[in-house]
Amino acid sequence: MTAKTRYIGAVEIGTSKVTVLIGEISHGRSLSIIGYGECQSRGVIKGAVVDFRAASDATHSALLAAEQSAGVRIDEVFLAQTGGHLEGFYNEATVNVSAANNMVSAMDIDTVCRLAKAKNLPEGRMVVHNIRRPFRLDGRLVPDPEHLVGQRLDVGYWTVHGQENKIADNIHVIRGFNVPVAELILSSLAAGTMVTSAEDRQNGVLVLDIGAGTTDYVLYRDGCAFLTGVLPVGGSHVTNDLSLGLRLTEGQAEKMKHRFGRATITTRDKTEKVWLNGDFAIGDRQFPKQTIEQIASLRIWEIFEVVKKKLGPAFEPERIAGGVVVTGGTARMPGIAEAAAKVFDVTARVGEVPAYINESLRDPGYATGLGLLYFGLNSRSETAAPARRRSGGFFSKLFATA
Amino acid sequence: MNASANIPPPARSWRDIQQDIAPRAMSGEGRKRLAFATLKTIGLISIGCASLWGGYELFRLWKDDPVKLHAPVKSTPMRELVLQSDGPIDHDWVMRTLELAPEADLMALDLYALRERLLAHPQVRTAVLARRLPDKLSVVLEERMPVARVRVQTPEGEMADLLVARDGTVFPGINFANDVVSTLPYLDGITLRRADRGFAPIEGMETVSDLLLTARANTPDLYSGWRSVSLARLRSDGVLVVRSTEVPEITFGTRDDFYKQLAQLDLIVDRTRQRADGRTLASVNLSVGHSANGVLVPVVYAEPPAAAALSDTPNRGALTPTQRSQPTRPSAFFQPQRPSLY
Repeated sequence: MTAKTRYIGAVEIGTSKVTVLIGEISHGRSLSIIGYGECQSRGVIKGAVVDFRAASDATHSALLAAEQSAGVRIDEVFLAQTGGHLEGFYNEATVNVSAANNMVSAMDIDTVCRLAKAKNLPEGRMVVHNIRRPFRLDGRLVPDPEHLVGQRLDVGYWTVHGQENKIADNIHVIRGFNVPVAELILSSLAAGTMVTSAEDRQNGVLVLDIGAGTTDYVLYRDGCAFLTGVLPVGGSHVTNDLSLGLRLTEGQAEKMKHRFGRATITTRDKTEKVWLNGDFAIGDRQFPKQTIEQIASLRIWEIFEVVKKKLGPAFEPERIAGGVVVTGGTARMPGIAEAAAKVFDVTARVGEVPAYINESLRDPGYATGLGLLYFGLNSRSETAAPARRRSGGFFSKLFATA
Repeated sequence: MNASANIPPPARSWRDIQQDIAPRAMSGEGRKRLAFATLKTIGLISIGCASLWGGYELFRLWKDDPVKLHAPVKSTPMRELVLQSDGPIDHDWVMRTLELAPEADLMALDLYALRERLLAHPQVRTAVLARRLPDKLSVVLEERMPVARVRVQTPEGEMADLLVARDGTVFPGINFANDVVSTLPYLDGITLRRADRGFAPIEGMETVSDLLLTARANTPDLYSGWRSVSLARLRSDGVLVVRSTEVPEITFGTRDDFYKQLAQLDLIVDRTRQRADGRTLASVNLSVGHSANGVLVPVVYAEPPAAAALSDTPNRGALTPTQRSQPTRPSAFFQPQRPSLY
């Protein structure tokens, strides 16, 4: 590695698979994806590590495969964080502008930011992100209040926090490979950055990252992340429902979900049946196609309903002009965008990564990994924020302008 | 009291988590990477320490005894000394001066010290020494050429001739031929001052050199009879006084071209030789007067015994253009130059 080139790894330890992407960042400006590794996940349930050794083996296998495909060693890792233990709250602070001429100084900004972040957490909880919402100076939204004239400066932070031991487990899995974790990034934020444009985020958009074990969501408003959350429900629950409802093994149910699962019911003929394997071998059976669609769609609709309920009054369809964007591995299920549109009563689409991404990585399941690389690229080139606030950390700057 | 002092500290962040874990908690690949990183760190530190120590030792050796610093290449004995010089200094003198041991190590030679030895002799103006691998030492010399000589008294009380170069350097000649040295005129009217190595340079030698070299090149017949050049009046009157066998005193002005003055002298001597009365020249002062516009050059003839009684004869002591006879032979002024001095 030269001084002007560094290799970063984007690691997502999911419930069903571990994905690793390696990016080569040259001169802090250009990013090339040079390596890819994937491994079936073990020891992870609903985004949380429950078997350290099994999770480490799976993650290290994916890391090793990615390094071998890239032919380089990773310098640092950008790690996706998910899990049902993650929660968030909003805290706001206000200060009166201290200068006699009412001009906002860097000290005023620093004070109000520190006040807004100064909220104690329960024992065993740790901050993952402090996501700043836009400043308000005498009630008007301003991206940067410094040197503006006003009397009252408000700012609010959406603070995401999680259980310390579960976050530490995630980090230690990576450290077991002797690679430092440079950043811990919420999965929904990573995926949301890749599948939405700046205009979408400015107009308001809801991103749903439906993985196997969890559903991460982020609501963007006024150009920045307004609210985030994680549901401990995902595509594996569809598989589980199919397994119970049709009396199948988990593998068979997973196969049926991929072949015939739909988020909306299109089959009207109750007698239309599909074969389990289609090879007429012993054990091959037929199942009503409408039943499969019903089971899958009910669970997907239920996930959407729960997300909508969790969003509560923050979800205002008239303030979400960008609609709903569904991504993650489960977003491959047919009809999921229509289901989202019906539940949320706004336009919906399956998230697509930008066209400059290689064809093999355009699957919605890689949106989080690509978003991590995007953050890795931008983490060293942030220059827009004032110097006083630059010391507040990368994410406070990133989400202020994202 | 500062308002920001009342703000409680921010809550604990994930960055507060200790990332270091025990090696036994690592996977095999992780332990391998850790060992590699540790070895790499140790190696880099070792290299750094070794470099620092080596640098310190080298500096100390250089400071205490630079001679011990041998060239970091394989030793090669010197087989041959290749001399290139523009003067009479020969190979033997260089070998004696350099005091090189037989089969001396070529890479161990201190070329700067050897060069100083050569330059210690004032005849050597410049010296360039270079190793010509695999086994030769190249010496290129540029020597001072003598234009005159001075007679000095040695510490033993004997009289010895020293040579004087154009830049005024006084040096004992090495390997100059006797017939060359014997034709050089002596310098007169100078004061030699002792210096670190021999004598201090003589001032005004460039002017003297111009005269002597012009004479030697253009009027060799006249020059061969020159016995001394006096610099006694050079600074005060700006003239050089030459004493020769044919003309006891020739005064050259330094403000006029020597070439022109020598041409006048050649003409005067030539006319004098043709005179029927057999008179000889006592002195010629070329520092004043012009011949081209009819002004006379001061010429003094020696008094012949018979002419002493006729001392009141008009026009004696000056040669006017109207009295000069036509030359019967080509002037020596236009004769070819002499060969090299050695």
